[in-house]
Amino acid sequence: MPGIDDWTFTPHRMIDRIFEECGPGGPWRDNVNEYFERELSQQTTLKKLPWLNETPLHQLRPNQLVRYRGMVQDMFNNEFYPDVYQVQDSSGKTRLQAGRYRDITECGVGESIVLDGKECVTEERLVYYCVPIPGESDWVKQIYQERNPTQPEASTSTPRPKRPAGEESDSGEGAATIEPMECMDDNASASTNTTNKRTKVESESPTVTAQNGEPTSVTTTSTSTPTLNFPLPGMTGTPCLVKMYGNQNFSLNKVVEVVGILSVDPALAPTPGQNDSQPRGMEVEEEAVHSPPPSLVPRLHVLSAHSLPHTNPLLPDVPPELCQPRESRETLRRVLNEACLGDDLAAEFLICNLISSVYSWKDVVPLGKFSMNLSGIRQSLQDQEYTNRLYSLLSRLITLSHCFPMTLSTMNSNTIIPRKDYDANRLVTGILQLPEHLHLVLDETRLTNGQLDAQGVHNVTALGNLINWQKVDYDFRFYKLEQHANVPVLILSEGRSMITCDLEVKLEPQHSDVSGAFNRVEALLTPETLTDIRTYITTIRLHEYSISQAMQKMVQDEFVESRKTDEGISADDLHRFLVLAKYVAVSCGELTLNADVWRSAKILEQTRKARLNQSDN
Amino acid sequence: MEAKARDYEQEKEAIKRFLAEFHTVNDDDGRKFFKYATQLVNLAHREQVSLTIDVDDIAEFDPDMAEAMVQNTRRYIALFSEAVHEMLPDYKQRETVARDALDVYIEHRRMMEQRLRQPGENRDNQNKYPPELMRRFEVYFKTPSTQKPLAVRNVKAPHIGKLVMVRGIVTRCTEVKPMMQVATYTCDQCGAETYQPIQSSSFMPQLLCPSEDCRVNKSGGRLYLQTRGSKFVKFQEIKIQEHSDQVPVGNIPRSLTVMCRGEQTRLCQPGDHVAVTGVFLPLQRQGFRAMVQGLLSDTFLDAHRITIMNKTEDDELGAEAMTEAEVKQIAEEDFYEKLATSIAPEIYGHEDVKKALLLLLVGGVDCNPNGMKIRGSINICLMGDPGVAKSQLLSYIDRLAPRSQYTTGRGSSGVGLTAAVMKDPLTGEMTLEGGALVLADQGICCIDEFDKMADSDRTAIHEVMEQQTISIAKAGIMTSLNARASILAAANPAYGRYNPKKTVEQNIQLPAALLSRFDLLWLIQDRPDRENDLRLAQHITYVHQHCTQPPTQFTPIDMKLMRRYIALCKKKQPTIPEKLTDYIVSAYVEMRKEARNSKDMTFTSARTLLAILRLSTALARLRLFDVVEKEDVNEAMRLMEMSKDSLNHSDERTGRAQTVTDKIFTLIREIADGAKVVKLGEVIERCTSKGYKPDQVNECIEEYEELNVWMVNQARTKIVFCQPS
Repeated sequence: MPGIDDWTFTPHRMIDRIFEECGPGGPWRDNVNEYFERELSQQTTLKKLPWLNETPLHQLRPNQLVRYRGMVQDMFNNEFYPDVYQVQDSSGKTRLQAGRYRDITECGVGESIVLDGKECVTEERLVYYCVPIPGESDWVKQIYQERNPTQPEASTSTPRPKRPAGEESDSGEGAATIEPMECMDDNASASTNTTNKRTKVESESPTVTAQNGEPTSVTTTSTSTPTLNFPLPGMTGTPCLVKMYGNQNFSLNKVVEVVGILSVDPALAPTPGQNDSQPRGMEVEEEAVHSPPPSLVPRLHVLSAHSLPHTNPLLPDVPPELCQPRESRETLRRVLNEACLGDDLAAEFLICNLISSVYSWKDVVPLGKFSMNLSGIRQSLQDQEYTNRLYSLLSRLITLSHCFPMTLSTMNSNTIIPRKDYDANRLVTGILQLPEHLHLVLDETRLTNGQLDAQGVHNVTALGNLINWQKVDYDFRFYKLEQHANVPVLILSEGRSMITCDLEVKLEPQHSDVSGAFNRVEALLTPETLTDIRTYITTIRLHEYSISQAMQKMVQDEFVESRKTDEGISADDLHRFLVLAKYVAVSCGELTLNADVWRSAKILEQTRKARLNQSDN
Repeated sequence: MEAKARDYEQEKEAIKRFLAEFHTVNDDDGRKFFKYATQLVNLAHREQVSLTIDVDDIAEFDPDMAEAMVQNTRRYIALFSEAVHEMLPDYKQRETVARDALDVYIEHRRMMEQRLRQPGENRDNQNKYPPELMRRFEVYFKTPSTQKPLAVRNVKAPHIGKLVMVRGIVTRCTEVKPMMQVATYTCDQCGAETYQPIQSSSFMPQLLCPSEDCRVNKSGGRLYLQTRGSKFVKFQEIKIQEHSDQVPVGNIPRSLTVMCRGEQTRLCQPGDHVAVTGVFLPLQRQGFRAMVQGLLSDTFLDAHRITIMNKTEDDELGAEAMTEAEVKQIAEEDFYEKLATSIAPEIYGHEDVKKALLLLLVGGVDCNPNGMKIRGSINICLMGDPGVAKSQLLSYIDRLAPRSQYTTGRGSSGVGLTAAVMKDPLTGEMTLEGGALVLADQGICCIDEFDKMADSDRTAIHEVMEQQTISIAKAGIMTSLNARASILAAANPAYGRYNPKKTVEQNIQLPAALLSRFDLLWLIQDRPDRENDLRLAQHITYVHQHCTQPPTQFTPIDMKLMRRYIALCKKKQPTIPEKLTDYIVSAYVEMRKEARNSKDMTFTSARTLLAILRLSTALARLRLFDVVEKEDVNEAMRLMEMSKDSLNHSDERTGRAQTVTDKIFTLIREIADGAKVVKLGEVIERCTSKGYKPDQVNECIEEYEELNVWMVNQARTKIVFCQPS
């Protein structure tokens, strides 16, 4: 389709044409919007656009259309720009230009810009600082990478694809080629603790760090982390200044997909040496942050944007109904059962934990949170790197995850709460600035005896708030600003965790052969099952659910009855029961609560409680 | 574009007329007060620097012009400045002493001009004294009172060039620097002075002398900048950021640069809450940057007026006094119940506890008779089994109260509850850092896990709860800090669950001296109650199904409205009328009597009487009345009674009530404390001190002797337990 290439590479030409057709006073803004909305709603067109996340900048042309997915990390002040401006050439003749979707004025030699002309219009646009989605699993990146259209007409002379050329042949067909990739994954994880060999070769994907969360590997990327403001240590990728037009806006930490015009003009970089002629003292410090070199942080002028309900590349935005939820659930249960060393109860609860998500806020109470504490990970298991293996398994099943090792040094030294830096006028991120549905795994088994300093206490409080209230208080120095989170948490600990969770499940391993168990897991995880499980988890999370009147009545009666006995359940218990029942029902593909599910949820909860009591005595 | 159509020369004349003639008539003696004319006299005598024009005054004079002033502020500032400049000489009534070097320069220049130039001579523009150089006054506008302050995020492109008022918090300030307003040059050839008024943040210095002499002679005179002859103004740049209540959910607060000149500098510091009036302007970039980034423009607010606000009082509450409708909405029949239920609506039941908390928010009246200080703040302690939403209640109150501190008894920071002396790492000075109780002065201090408090804090809290101060004697610093805080504490029972057979002290493991300082002690229990339970279950299932409140239930009053109503209540200072005193006294005596006779686990003391008085004044405040009525006292006593009930009859199912004998037996067991032998004398002594009569004790001893629990020796001096207890 040569027509597409025409405008995807030079969208400005299109805008200018519409501008000229309608005239500066005409509805050109709406027409431009309409035109691009129409074009970009076609999947075929979209597929042709390269992902900025997966394509190195030098392979892209300036001012071409690209796609980008990222998380809104910071919001800068509105930018005022001339929507329409006049250009005066040497002979004094003037013409009008559209300044929308541009950073740089277009004026030739001998021409000058008139900003206060009669027909000039000043408008404002929102500027978001977006970072690549934190905690995006490797497999997600890989699939996006494969689907990314190659850029044969790139401006550089050597359009080297990111993956070695030899593999290009076996994965040329886009979506259908996940399987060979996964095989590679399996082998790799079986042999070298899931460190994918190929990702090591590729510099782009976050490698070891994300997987075993060792602070040591942070050092390799630490030089770039502070300036680019990535929430998680070891993240790599391209951050982006996203400029939004019109009335659309997103809230902080939203995961968005945008299509926009890439703007990488070197003139946008701050010019050193100019500073002394700048009498405004504050601007100098902010400049570095607010206009970083475009080679590092490209600008995107957004033509179309929407927030992503999930980031699973295997599914469209609105996932279709699963055909066999129960089978998929059984597969997942078998895998988790092995991973929990034969503990069925823990596996059941893990499924619920994996598909949990806050579905609503009632005043300050988040409904649907299902934070879980998997305790009982003994030293003997930990000697075999149990938590690492468990986490790397989980990260292969879900789209977004992060493992935070709670060691004394990480708790004391890091500020995990995002805070505002007024000198640079930006929000300095912390690892608690997380996108929705990111699965946070806290590894408490690494905590040793010692002293938590003031910072450490702060951090523990912040983690506790996140787990119990699903909120993070961002530090704006003069006041705190509460941000809602939607982050399922799993705490791995030896005894009961120091942070109270919704529920604690004590692991009762049937055996202690960790590597044997994970080898069996590998055997189970064929490419088909992996795809199946990944699709399953994302789809189930977005599942509709309701409680019928009759069931409500039954639950209420049961509650009132149980209160009559000594071992009555409290309101909190009822909340927990309802949430657990929801996830049990949904995980089986049920749309409503029914008596069977209610009963099995109760049995699960009772077994869990019995196990806890038994270990207490 | 009405403003464009206006004739500025005519406007200037109108302004002159306004300045000269605007006056208000004094009510008392009917004399005219010329608001601006008197200021002009001051300006002429250099006794005043800034002239603030209230747009409201202009609106009285000429509404159209007022509108134009707001829309096209820059132009009108210039017009006003010119007008004032031209009028000033007429207002000069006496010679003034030159204040600084610039005054001398101006005087000198004026004399030079009069001496050298013929009137009417057409002069070279460059050599003429620019008016900016000669002016020593500043003109500012004040926004009309109808204009509401904006949030930073609402200042948008259409506001450019207009007068706006913005609220925010100051986050950064630069130092005050001199900024050149008029550059003065002298020529090295002809000696003529050249002036260059500067409008923007940077300028291109002139190099060649434009004077008549140099031009004609082509002598190529070079210009040199004269610092002393130039005019500088004070200049400061500040940044303001939105208040947290102006930020929509899920957004980052926006900030705005404010440029302050002259008299507007040094008015605020980081952390201040301010309202800034100013002109919203784009910042023109200079030189190279203007070329490459021509499409971007920074904006700033040219400050005209900066007022510091007190956030808690004026800004949030006072500024928006409650409207009639809002008061009506609250002051319905059942407003007391309604307000109480609106506290933590997500927690079910516990109406009386919530009522008590409402009274705590409102607070009683402080009295200081004859130097004695009787606190008005109400202290409440919530006890109860784990998981009965104590912490939720606390955190709700913490959010609702305009000024509050939430802390746990364990005290997370080194400062703890009271105060700590810290060594400043930079200067090495000892500084005092207030703990939660000090920070909660005039507010509410919520202390969770009160029972787990550190010992040092426990001693200090005695003082806080009665005297409302904290005395510090640490590291050479001896001082007393105010801590006029209401304390809302939550405590867990010592043995996991509250044991109703034991006294409060035993259950909470806090000394009676401390517990008696609480006006109300509530035991919150999770007791089965069919109706309540069903309602709770319905609520929870409904919430999970629909994610909203059940429709039939009442909608809780908005938190902001509550806050404002409580602030309104606090303004009242109700008194207790004479005729009620007898009633209260007799009621108190009755309570004392009852307490002595019944099996009471709590204390009834003089403090109880004070508590009743506090609660009744708080209730009167809540009704917005100035006098306490009998119903208030009754309700206060009812609450008191309910709180006692919650402790005493906490569990009816525990079988028969304890008799006196049971109590004495428990006491003897306590005295024995595991030992096998107890001296009888000691037993009698301790029992009588607890208010039991010796024959009651003897009766008890005999009764248990018959049961073979213990034996009394022949001489009746010792009690020996038969089985190790």
